[in-house]
Amino acid sequence: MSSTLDFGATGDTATRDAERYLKDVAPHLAALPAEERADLLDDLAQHLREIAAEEGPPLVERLGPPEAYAAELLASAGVPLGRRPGVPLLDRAARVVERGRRSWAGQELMRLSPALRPAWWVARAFLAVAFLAEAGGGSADVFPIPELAGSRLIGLLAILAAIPLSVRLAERSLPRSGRLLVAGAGAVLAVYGLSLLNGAGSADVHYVDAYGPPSFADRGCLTASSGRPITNLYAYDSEGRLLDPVLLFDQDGQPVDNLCPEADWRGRQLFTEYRQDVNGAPVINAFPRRQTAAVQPGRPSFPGQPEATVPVKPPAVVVPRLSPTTTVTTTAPAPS
Amino acid sequence: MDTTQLLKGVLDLAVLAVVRDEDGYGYDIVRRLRTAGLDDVGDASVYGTLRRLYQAGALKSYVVASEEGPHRKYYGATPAGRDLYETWIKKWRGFAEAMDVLIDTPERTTA
Repeated sequence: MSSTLDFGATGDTATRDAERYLKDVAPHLAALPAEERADLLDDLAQHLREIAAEEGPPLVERLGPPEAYAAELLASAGVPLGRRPGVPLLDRAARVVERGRRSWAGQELMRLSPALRPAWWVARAFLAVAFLAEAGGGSADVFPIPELAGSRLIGLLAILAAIPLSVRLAERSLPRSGRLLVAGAGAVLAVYGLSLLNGAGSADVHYVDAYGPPSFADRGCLTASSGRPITNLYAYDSEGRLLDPVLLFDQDGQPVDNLCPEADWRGRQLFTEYRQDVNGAPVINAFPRRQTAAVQPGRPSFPGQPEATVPVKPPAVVVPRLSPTTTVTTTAPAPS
Repeated sequence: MDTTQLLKGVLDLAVLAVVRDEDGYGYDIVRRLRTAGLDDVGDASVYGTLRRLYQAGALKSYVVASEEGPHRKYYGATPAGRDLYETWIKKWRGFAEAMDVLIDTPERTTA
C-alpha cells in the first residue's frame, strides 16, 4: 500500500502513462464515426487513468500492444453497424452514379447525350463567367450577360472566349484526376445554374426564420435549462430504483401540473395516460405518467386513424451514491 | 481451444454477474472477474462490454471522487440489467447443461 504522499508522486507518472497509451490507441479507432470516437476516447482517457493509478508495471505491459487493445475494444463495444464508414466516399459516389445510369431517366439521358453535350459545353462556359462575375462582386443580375470588371461587354467577350475553351476541354483526353476535376467543377456549375434558374424572374427575398416556433417556456409549461420541454418526471431512490408512483406538490401544496405533455423536443406527439383516484378522476400529479410517442415526428393524428406509437421508457439516469462522510460528485451520463 | 473465444459469448453475463450485488469501477470489475477464475479476461473486452451494456440501459454509471487518485467511474446494474441477467442465466444454464451432456456422453462420433 502506498501512502498518500507516494501516490501524489506516482500520480503524475500514472497520468502521463495513461495519456501516452491513449495517444497510441487513438489512431486504431479511426474507423469509428467522429462523434462516437470522440466520446469513446473521452471515456477511455478516464478509464486508463484509473488503471494507471493502480500499482503495477507501465500500461503497455499490463494491457498489451495499443493496436490489439483497440481491436479488442471495438469488437466488444459493439460499434453501431451501418454507421461505419467502411466504403470509401469515391466508391460510394461511383455506385450512386452507376445506379442513376441504369435507371430509365439515366438510359434516356445517355441516349440523348451526344446531342445534349454541345449545349452543356456552351452552358458551362456561360455559367463559369457568370460565377466569376458574381463571385468578383459584380451585379447579381447575370442574365443575359454577366457584368465582368464592371462591364457587360467584357462579360460578353469572356463568354465568347470561354466557349471554345470549354469545347476544347471536352475534346481533350485528360488523365483520371483531370477528369474528376472537370466533373467536379461541372457539378458545382450545374448547381449554380439551377440556383440561377430558381432565382430568375423572382426578386423576392426569402427570410429564414432563425428563431423557430415559440419556445416551450413561452407557453408556460415546465422547461429544462436546455430549453427542452419537461414532458414527464421520474423519481428515484438513492439505490437507483424508480419510484412509481409518486405524488408531487409545489411549495404551496399545489399539485405539479404544468408539464409539457403534448410533444417531446423531437416534435413527436405524446399520448399521456393519467392515473386515476378511487372515483376514477385523473390524478395529474402522479408520476411517472404512462406515455406513448407517435413514431413519426410532427405527423398530425386524424380522428379514427390508428396512430403508430412506441411506449416512452424511463431515461437512463445517473444516481449519485449518497454518503454523509465522503465527497461524491456526479456526472451527466455519457451522450449516447 | 482459446479461452478468449469462449469468453466472448459470455462476457455480458459475467460482467452483469459481478456488478449485480455490488457496484464497481472498471479495473475493479476486471479484477473481480480474474479472481473468480477468468484469468484471460482482457481489460479492453471488459471495458467495451461495460460501455455497450451502459448504452443499452443495462448498467448505470456515476463518478466517485477520490482523494488518493483519479476519479473512478462506477458501474452498477439497472433494473433492466437485472432482468437481462435473469434471462441470460436461464439461457446459460440450458446451454451449459447441453454442453455437459455432449461432453460426458461416453460414445463418441469421432474415432
